[in-house]
Amino acid sequence: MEQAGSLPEQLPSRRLELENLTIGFKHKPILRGLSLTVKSGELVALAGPNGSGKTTLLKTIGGLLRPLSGRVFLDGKDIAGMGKRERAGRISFLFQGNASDWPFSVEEIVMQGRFPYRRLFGADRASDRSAAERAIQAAGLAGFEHRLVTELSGGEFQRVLIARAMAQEAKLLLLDEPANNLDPKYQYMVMNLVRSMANSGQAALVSLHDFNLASLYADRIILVTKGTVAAVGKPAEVLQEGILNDVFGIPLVISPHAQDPRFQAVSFPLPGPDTQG
Amino acid sequence: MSNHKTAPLIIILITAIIPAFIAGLLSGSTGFTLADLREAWMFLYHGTGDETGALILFEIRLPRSILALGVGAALGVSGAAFQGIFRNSLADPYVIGASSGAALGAALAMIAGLSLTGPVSAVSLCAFGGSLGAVFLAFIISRSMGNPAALLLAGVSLSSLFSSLLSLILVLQDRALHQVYYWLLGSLNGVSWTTLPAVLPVMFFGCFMVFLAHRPLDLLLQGEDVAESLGIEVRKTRLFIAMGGSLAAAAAVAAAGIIGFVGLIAPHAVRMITGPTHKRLLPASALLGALLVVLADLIARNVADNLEIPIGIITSLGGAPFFIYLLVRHGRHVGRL
Repeated sequence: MEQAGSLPEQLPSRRLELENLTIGFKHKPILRGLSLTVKSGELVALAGPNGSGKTTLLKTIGGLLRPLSGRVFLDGKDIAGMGKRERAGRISFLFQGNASDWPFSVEEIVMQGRFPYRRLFGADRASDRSAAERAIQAAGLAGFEHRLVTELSGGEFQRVLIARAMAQEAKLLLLDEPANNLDPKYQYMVMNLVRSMANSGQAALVSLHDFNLASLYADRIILVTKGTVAAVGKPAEVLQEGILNDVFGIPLVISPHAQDPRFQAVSFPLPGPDTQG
Repeated sequence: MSNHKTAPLIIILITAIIPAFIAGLLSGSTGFTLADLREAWMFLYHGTGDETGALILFEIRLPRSILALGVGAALGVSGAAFQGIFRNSLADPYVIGASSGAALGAALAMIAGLSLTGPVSAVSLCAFGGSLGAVFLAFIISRSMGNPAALLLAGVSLSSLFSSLLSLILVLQDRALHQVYYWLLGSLNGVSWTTLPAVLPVMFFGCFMVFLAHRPLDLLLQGEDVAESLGIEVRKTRLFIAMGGSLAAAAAVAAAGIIGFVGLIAPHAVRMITGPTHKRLLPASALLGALLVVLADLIARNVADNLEIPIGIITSLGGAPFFIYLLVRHGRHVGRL
């Protein structure tokens, strides 16, 4: 515990710290010995092949799973020592693949983000209402407040869930594939939203399959595979053909982005020879 | 949208309950008119007027009608609670086996000679134990199968098991089966003022527990991970709500036997208007449940001359086809109606 106290306060910009973290399930570790720091204002993309433990890692950081060993610090405080409500006030989690089966209104779903701050009973407080209202505005959902979430498109619903995460006003965002299954327009909108949340001082750890999005939006990329970290660093450092070929086993092609060569574009190689008739 | 439809719904339900309640007082093997009611009232307060009428109206029918309201409200809230924690809008205390569990518990208590009086009666408590046990079993079984329909199958199996156990015990005990079966089919017959304090506070307390958890219930519908990430202690909260729902259902069973499907229909029907938000759903479910049981009791007492049909038969005749309709209509999406 003393060790925990010595780490943090003097370095407030170190929002999230993973200390020698091993995650997974009993007798089946998925990722070993992971250490990582995410500063406030920073957006870190978490990439890796399917089954490499990205979701498990996010859930462990979010306190939904216990680490097999190692610790997770949020603003210097071990999350293992936090109650669920306290944790919910500090960490927003966007899960993958949520469809809504129950016809809540957009406003009701976004207000759920205020749960950690509300008393069990009592009317909605003005501060909760205004936080939800800001989130709805920021997510471009103004005018949707009373629509039922069961009637929304996938992209609209994803923005509702992001609005709920925004309304939570937590310092750390854990987003599991926020752009999955969205058309390009919504991917663009959603990633802009995530970037602006990070810019406002939140720290974001975002699992992303799409390296083009990671290149454009992330400050750093952490690439995990086969139980360990394959690479971590700025997008230009991680997005290299050799590294990606090692991890994914196909020769992805890296080129400068057409609009700005500081960003990388990641393309698939041309179809294999056996496909050419 | 659903927000401003809830107040009119509540007003309509209350407006419907009042005449149904009065009709329940007046009709039955001895019919009364509103004038008779006034006569009986006079006797009660001034000692002059219709003594027999006063006896029937205020000593027999009034407690019975009040209990009908309470039982209906308890079943409505209990059904909404179970639908919420199981994330399955086909759940209700009857369908998942909680009612049969409560009946088994209550019957065991009665055989052991425990009483159904006092503020929290021993019979109610045993019914609660049976009900909560059934909910646990249904939860464990359905969870290991990981399929929403599994809950319904588990409930059917458990109901059947509990009923058989109950019958077996009765046969071995050489008890008057007829009487117990009549109670199992659901009946508000023989209710007196002494019954009410034994069961109404338990029902009220159970419903209150569920109301306390109205926001967590909304979050539980979003899934365990989401609920937990928003600050809910999922297991504890679910247990708390299951206890509230079981208390309400168990007290209803202890008082009036097994009255099926009210807990299924009431939340289901009002949800179409209130939406799934429990702050609005729960009170409306309570009111519709109360209305349904008062109406079912009215039918049970008046459909045949000189014969009272068990109220559970009436609710099942109406509720089972509705349940089948939901199953057919929603097919494999049983869990997400």
